[in-house]
Amino acid sequence: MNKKYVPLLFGLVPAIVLLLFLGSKLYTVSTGEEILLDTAPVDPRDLFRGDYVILSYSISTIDNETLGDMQFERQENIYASLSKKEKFWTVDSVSKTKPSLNENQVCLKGEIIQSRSNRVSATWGIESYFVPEGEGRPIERSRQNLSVIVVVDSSCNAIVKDLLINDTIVKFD
Amino acid sequence: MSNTPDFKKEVNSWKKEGIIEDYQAERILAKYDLAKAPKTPKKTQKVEYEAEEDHHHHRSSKTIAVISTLGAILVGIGVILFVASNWRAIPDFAKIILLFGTTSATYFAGWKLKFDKPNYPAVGESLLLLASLFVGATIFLTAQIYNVPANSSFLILLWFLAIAPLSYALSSNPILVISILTFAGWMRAELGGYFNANFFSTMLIFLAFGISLYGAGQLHKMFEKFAKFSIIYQTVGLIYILFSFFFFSLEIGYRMPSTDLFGSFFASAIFAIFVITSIGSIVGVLVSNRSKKAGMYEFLLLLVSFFGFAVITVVSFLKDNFMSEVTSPYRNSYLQPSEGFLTSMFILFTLLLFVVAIGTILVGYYKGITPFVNIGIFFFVIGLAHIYLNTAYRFLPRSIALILGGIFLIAGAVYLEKKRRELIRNMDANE
Repeated sequence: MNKKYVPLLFGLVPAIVLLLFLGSKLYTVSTGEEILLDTAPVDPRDLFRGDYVILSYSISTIDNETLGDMQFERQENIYASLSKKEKFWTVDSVSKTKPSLNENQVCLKGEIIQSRSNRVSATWGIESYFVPEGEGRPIERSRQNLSVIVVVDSSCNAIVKDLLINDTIVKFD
Repeated sequence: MSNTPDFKKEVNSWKKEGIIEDYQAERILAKYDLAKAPKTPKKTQKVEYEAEEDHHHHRSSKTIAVISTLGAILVGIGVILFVASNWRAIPDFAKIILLFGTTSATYFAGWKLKFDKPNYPAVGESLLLLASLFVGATIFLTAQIYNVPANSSFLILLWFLAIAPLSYALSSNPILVISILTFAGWMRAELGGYFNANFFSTMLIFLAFGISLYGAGQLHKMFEKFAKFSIIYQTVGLIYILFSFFFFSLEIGYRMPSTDLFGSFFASAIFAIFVITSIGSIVGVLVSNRSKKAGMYEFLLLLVSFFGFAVITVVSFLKDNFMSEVTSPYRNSYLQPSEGFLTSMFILFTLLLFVVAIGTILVGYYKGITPFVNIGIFFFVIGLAHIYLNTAYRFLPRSIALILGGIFLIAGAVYLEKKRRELIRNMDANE
């Protein structure tokens, strides 16, 4: 093969990286199950990636009652089994490895960011919701009755699909 | 020579055809006693003209390269900001296809101009740089569409992994610079965003990173194909070293809250890796340059840099010993670094900054590397300005301090610029 085509072939490296990244997200969206989580916004803004709302969930803090005897260190992986209660999905139990689930359950994979004697805090990869420029502040003001629809796949990966205010999906024109 | 007239004719025809110069023709003929030996190997007017033309051509292609690179960076930033505005008028998937298509098309155009039909290599190089910026924009756009957490350092790592092989495959200095910066950005994001390491701890890691980059540059010299990358690695490495020393000469770093840099596996691992690579760099530079003067300066420069790294590492471990308790009427008593400690660190790291800056200038001078001279002088001036602000500005009335500072800066700038030009002229003459 002519030497000048070698650099052209190397152009496939970023293409493969991009496709793998996009593929993993498409897999979650197309095969995952939708769940509704109770949330509250914290603070919007990202200089390079536009406005976004930082979301805080009730499932982000897990107390001793759910933890039982389990001890988690900072940066450690955590899996949570969730099931639907009256309206929202909440945590039934947590584990250090992928749990076996009942028919009415889904799992979320996260990481411990803080470990205290009576509770742990975790992130689930669903803490940002991006909005068009200038739309972050109005959402931040709507602290009441905010919820999100999250898609969770069988590997416990999650993606935020929609943001809801008073049970209505927020649309941007 | 059996057929001398024919040979003489032949040599003259070579001369006429421009295959050889007059001086070379005379020397060939003189070898066979067919002409008198020429006196001195003086340059012909033609050679001088060609040299001048080459120089002019080199300068103009450099200008084209700078302008087209700036253009590529502007377009890249524009696209990133466009992505950041999260424009909802286009469906998400169309946005991805648009950006993916633009990235591929830019890459192909860059390849065509640089490798396939290399009529515009500088423009081709800029388009390849632009394509590597587009790769980052596409990653961030995809992440935005799927609401991947904004502080995810993983995205920067993906960008680095996607473009790092390109810098070698395309033999591209600008893409290599972007690759090094994305790697450093990933480390900062991972340490700062996730492990809550403050800037002080990050600068400690960056100092060792700088030493390691310098060593990586030395390593690249061993391979003819990649030797051109050595200056990039070493220049970026020196900037990291010098900027770290400047940072450690400031009070602000020591006033930051203490962090748990060694409390996480990632931070400890990255620290250990850079300690090993830094030592490897120093040994490598010593072994490969033992007999050369510039090589010894390089070795000493890295040794001093590592000494500074060792000092800050010790300070990080023993930081509680340098704290003194301050009682405030407005709040509870708190701990802050003692004045004696802050002054010692200011003096030590300003001295180290000057030593490394001068070392950088010397290495640049002896090795004929202009960027080293410029970087060394820049940080030397930064160090001087810092000393001025830390001493005269504190003790003199503000107006006099500012006037004196201004005069000092203008005079210093004129003097240093003169010296810088002189050094670069000497380097050119030596070449």
